[in-house]
Amino acid sequence: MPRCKKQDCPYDRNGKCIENLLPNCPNLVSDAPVLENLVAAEVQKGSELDSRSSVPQYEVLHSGKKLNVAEATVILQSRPAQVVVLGGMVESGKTTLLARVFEMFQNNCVAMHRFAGSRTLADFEKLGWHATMESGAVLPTTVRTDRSENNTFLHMRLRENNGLRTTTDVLISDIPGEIFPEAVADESVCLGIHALRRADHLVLFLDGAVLRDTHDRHDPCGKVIDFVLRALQTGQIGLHTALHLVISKCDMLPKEADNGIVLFVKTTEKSFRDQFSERFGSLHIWRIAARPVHPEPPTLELIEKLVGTWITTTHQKQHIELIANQQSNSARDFCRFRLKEQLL
Amino acid sequence: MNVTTAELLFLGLPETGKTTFFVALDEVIQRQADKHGLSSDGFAANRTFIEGAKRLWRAGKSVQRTNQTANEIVELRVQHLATNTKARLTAPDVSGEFFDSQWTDRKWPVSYRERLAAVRGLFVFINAANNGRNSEINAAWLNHQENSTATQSKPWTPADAAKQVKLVDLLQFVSERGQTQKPLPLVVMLSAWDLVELEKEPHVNPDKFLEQDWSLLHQFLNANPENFKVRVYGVSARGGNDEAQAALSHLNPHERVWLKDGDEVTKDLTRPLRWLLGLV
Repeated sequence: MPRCKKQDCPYDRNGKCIENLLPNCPNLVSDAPVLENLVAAEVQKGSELDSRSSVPQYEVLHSGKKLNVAEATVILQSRPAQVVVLGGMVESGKTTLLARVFEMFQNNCVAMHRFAGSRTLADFEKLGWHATMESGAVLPTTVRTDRSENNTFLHMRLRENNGLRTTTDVLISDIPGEIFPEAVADESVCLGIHALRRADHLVLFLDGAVLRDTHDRHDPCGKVIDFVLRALQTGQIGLHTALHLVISKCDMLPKEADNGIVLFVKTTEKSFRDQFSERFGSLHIWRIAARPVHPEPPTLELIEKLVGTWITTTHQKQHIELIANQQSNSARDFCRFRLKEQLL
Repeated sequence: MNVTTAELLFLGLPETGKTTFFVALDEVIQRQADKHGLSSDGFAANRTFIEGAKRLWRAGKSVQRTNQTANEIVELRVQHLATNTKARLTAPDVSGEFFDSQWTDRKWPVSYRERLAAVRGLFVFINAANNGRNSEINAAWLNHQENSTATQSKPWTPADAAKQVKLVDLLQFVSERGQTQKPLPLVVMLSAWDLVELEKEPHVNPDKFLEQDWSLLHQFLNANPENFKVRVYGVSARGGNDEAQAALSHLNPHERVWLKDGDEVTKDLTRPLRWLLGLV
């Protein structure tokens, strides 16, 4: 997987060349496809630093920050891994869900899987910071995912908590809320979301709080459906993808089953299922509250079930022959799903 | 007589009791009462560092923090009569700040990585009085904050990360980059264990404690049996906190210490060492 050696070029994030010289930009360099080479690069980086300073000599360790496409590809090529893409409008609850998942592992709230490691621990920690007392926050909040974080991945390695003890790497990409509607409007933006084509799971969020507003709820619902249609049209998602609709902040919905808002949510869910169930490997609908307003508890069991689905379900294998790239050595990396061609 | 040499590593964040344990361990070895335990096979040539720290520890005072710039190499010469084994154990007394800065700065000295290849066993120190994770905002906090004048939370810095998250990454550095033997024997030492339970009323299993309060670390260690072989102990290397020292002062220093091994209480602080060396 090539990457750009210019620091200010957005190529690694969105595939666009700052100097508009693709496909022959001289700043593109190849990236070694094994984990050891990632490590070696970190060592080299440390040695370069040391050559300018006095002893002691230092080695650079992994940054703990989100992985770019090239770094994620290294993991995909070396181990069984699942790719999960989260999408939705700004403040629809994507990042809050990820913060909650990490907190659940920290709080011993996950029964089915054990946390076995992560290359992005620093960024996982950062997600939940403003919901901790140590931050001094008055109310729990989540920092919005920045545009620059498009095409980056959180990483987690999980091990089954039963006798089989299978280990799976999970790579999670959170489409920034600002980019989500742009992808509906502009096909090139949608194609620039590199993880979509390789995604085992596409998880789309509808904000439960917004669904209470009889005027403002229609656009986010429409955007979610239009995003699915757009990505189906580009061929990035389809029968090789598990599609999820998450009604987030469900604690904000009325409790009465015959309430108009609840009926609207049910109708939306049914329409989503009717429209898309035949076009995806599987379709799942969830109502979750990752950080509900007190005193309601978070829906931990459902969140664990959702994460369990990310680990155990994939439809990529059934369709691998359809889109196989003969040049790749690995069955399920980004190259195998034409991402490499797309980048070049 | 089997003769062996083993390098050990004491890994832990600041103020987790690494130096205190080493001093207490040395004292127990010199005066070993347990016939199954490790006992002294003589003094190392240079004991300046240990003797300096021991003066405070014997008086029931907190042992001062390790010098951050100089990593003193401490050495113990021990024998295990039950297996007719002698061992020379060395360990650099590395400051907790050294490990904390590995997490925040994301780099380590080449010389440290080179030493890891020779390490036979790893002690991971945790202060049992500390929280492994940052605390989620709860209803009590919200009520408290209603009267607060604070308007904004402080921005995140790496130093703010939960302690268990830092430890997991430090251990990932070791297993990914350290070229250590695999699986590497590792003991988790829960220091200040006297704050968790009383010696005379034991009811807490250290492994269960770790699973509950330092869950991410517990999961990480148990989900990587290829990399680590793990055992968890509680240790009170001073016998009690500052307030308890007056009552403890009538005991000899090596009689104040105690270790929690599963459900058993023992005075033999050499058990973790024996387990690391396969001398159990």
